[in-house]
Amino acid sequence: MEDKCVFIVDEEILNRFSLLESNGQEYYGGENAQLFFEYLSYRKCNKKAFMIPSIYKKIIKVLTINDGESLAYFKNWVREGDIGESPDTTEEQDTISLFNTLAVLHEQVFIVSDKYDGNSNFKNIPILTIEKLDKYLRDKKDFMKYIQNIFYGDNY
Amino acid sequence: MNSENILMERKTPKVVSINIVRGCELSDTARATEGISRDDLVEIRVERNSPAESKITRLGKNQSPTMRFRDALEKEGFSGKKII
Repeated sequence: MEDKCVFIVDEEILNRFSLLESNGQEYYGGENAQLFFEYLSYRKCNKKAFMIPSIYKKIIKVLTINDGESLAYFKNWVREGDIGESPDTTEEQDTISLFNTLAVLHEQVFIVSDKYDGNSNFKNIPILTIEKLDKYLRDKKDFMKYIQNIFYGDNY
Repeated sequence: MNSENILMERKTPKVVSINIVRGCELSDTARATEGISRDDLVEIRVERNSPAESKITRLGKNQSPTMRFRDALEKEGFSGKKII
């Protein structure tokens, strides 16, 4: 049942993930991003988060190097939202358009981002800030048991 | 480009796609052939300049999808930096 909800992400989640190796203050957010990608793999349905086209294309352009492995992993977890392209709209407007489109197709849609927290244009839209995302994922007991087994073994 | 470079370029594998799925999403035949259970996590990788058949890898302990992604980012010089 819970696999029926979908997520909209932006560049924050990927940046947090890539900063995981920086071992500084960024580590906490990076760990949450890692948990989120693991959760998408763990699910049986809706295993990809959506992203607005303008941000998706920027990321693809940067990751298109070498043997394409990072890009292939990114595409495993994130797909481009089908809202068409318009040079006249802002990221915020595109995000709301994508939310409205997905809300018709799926039972629940969450926006995973710190960007729009407290923004009055998003007051009726469920936002998972990185802190709320952490709680959302850690409340999933079966998933957390799976994570403990994967990273620490059965006897953790 | 000389013939040696052309040959090297042809031989360099390029990852075309990676799909990480649960064993239950595979066909019964694929599960039986690869010895994969319904709960296993599996990586299906397609590479160009590699044998055409997909490479199916069962992800065991310490082989989580995100750890493999981290390795790929590190190999390609993105680790510890913002992507955009």
